[in-house]
Amino acid sequence: MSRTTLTVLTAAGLVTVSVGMMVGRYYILGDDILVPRGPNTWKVTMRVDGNSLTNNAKVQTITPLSFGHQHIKREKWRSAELVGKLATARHPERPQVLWSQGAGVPPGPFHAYYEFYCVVDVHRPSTKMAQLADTLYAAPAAGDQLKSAPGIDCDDPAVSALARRLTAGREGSVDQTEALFRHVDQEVRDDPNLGGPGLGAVDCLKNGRGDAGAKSRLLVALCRNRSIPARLVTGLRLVRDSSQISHTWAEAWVRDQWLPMCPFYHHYGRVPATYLIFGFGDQPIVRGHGVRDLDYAYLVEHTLPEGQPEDPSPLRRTLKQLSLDALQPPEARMVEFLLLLPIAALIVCVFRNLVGVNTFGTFAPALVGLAFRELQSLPGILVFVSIVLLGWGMRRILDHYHLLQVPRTAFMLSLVVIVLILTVVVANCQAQPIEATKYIPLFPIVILTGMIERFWTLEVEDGTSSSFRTLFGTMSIAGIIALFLSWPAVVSHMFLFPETLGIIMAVQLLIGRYTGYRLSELFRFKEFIGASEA
Amino acid sequence: MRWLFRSYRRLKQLGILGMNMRNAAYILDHNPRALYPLVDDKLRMQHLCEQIGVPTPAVYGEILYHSMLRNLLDHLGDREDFVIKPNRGSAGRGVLVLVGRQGKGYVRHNGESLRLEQIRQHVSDILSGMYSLGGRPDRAIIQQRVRIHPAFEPIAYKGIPDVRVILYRNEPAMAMLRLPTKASNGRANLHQGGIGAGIDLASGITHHAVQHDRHVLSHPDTGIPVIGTRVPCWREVLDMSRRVAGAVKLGYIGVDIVIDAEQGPMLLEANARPGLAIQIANARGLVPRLAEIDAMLDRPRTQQAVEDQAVAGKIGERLRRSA
Repeated sequence: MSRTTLTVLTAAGLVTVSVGMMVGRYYILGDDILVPRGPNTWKVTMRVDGNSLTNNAKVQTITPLSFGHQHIKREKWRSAELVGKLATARHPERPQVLWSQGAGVPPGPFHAYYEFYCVVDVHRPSTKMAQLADTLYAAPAAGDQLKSAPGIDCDDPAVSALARRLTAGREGSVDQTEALFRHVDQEVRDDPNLGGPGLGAVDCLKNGRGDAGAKSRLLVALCRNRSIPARLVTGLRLVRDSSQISHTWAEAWVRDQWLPMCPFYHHYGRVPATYLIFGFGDQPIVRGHGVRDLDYAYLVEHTLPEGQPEDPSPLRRTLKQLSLDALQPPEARMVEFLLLLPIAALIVCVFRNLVGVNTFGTFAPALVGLAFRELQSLPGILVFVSIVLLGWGMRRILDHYHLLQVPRTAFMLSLVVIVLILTVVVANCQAQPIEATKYIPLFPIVILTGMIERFWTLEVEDGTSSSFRTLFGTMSIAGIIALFLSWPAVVSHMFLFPETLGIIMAVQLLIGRYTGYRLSELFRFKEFIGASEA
Repeated sequence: MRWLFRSYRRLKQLGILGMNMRNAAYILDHNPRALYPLVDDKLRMQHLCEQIGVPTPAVYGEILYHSMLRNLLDHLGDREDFVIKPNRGSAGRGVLVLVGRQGKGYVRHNGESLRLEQIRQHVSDILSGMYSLGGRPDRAIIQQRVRIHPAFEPIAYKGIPDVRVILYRNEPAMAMLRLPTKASNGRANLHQGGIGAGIDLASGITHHAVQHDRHVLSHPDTGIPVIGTRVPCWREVLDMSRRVAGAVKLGYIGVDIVIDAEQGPMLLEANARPGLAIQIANARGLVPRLAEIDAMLDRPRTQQAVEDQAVAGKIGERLRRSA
């Protein structure tokens, strides 16, 4: 049997086993394979309706935060009239779906759907989730969360008088906060929540009644009046209901922590884990530009309602336990990275063996591409290229010193580190500090240093154009990997069906025995073809 | 898009060997990985050549450790000209050709003068693995400098031309003469702008030439035609390359031979992954020739013997007539 036949047969075997496993698992688990189920897992569907007035109509819907003990997954958005885009990279603390009128769609009524699964009460958040929680629950800056804001007029005489009266004789922010909460909770009557902007703190106090938003605004205004930093929290209560809208509660900074309080559902010091946080501050869930009649509602479903018996089939139980959905966020994140690595490697194979692009190192583009994917920013690529070029300049200077290779590379690494630190510091000194970590990938620094050395060597040996071509090839492949692997459908497919790795391996095997021409060779032998045709 | 498909088909018709086919069908299938260290190691190749009676440039000395750099002058002796190269280098990288002395320093083949300190730095880079395959620490060899053969003097610029023969299953498949130019800085390296001139295997005469993959007729620096040059000692070159290929047991190999003005052909190095530019230099594809070698070697022995006899008879007849 020839080696090519052996390769094709092995690849066919791999594909058969992979597809067989996928089909088998789907046959046994059915839709459960697609739906994460668990006592703490909820499915939420949001529907937004409205009327667009222009072709440039824009709609923003804020989406839940994946942080701390709440983990958001399988986010999907669709609309026949609008094109949606999830925007989390720039401001992870303010995730939202940005919708715009679809090309060729005339202005008029539209419907948009945004759906996600969330796991609440996560015991071990991922590093990213924990970092975001640390940022959002950090101590307020001096003077922050103490001033009046629209709807929160903490300097209003009536608010001041009430605050003074309620806290008279009470020392310490804990006692004072509790007294203010008790009053708003018990003395201000509840109104049904109608959505919309809602009443401000002063009106709520005047009327003696208000919905969740109005009561929370009043509580925040009272706290701020007593110099206790306080803020609103916008979110959603995860309770099975035919239709519901967002919920608002409050938090106050007491005893060096943010103390949650819900004066509508009577929670003080702790709110249930089913209070899903969308963001901090008084933010509208949906807003639009060039639209009218905006309206929205949520449908909340529990994936495994309490009291429902556990799966009787041991095989189904085992398969569910083995599913990647059962992993905690830190492990899930690691597995996600691992699953994407072979795809990145496959893309490198395609570009090197089918297209014929030269790169620095075999898998350097894969690692750099995955680093860019983490950053989700194209400027990151520019920063990376600038550092390579700057490093190349430094390497040319270093050449005069005639240093031994290993100490020279170590010295280059130190120089790269200094450049990176300087970039971070300078970015921070701007009038509006730029978060440099969004643009500077940290883990491929060693690859970066190696790349500078290779760039220099190639320039000396094969000329400047050759080294720039190779740098361009490397960065292009890294960019393509970053873009392709940022496609949510790829990530979610790999997570749901990790058996796809078998198919990827089969393609890698087949490329391994591909003996046809590379695309670049058609250009390399161009003159040859021309001469033979002449 | 149509151009791509047409070009693809045309290359196939012309029998051009692509990089993927070279790697998958010839190198991976015919060159066992275990034999690579032998061809990549110039000193081991030198010993092997001594055993099979193939001449190589004399090795004056080896520098193994950085500590030996202190006594570099002792290793160089009072030699006027020599070559310093990495033991495990490739594509002519890291080769320093020194042609004479100038005060305390040396003069390179391109006229550039070098201080001893600079040579020491270069050797240090070699030892650190800067020019070795895979970047592994290496040894530096001080080797005899080959003198240019008079036949090549008009068509070489400040360097020594070499002959690259590609052998498949011990049979020469294609050959080219590599000529140094000003653009290649006096190195016989096509990648850097050297000229590649295809050699007719039967006659040893160059029949086509390229520089930077483009057809040329004459040497850009000397203006002398590069086509029609007869490679001296051609039969010896072919015989030597066959012996080397047989000894290293690689099925697909590139053998680089230089022709010294006094000592004749000498093996410079062997390459387990010879490049594809030889096809452009010869204006013909390797695939038909490789298939021909396969067909020739895979024929039943009796038929081969009959055909060989017939060929021998014809050659004998031709020789008699010419005599």
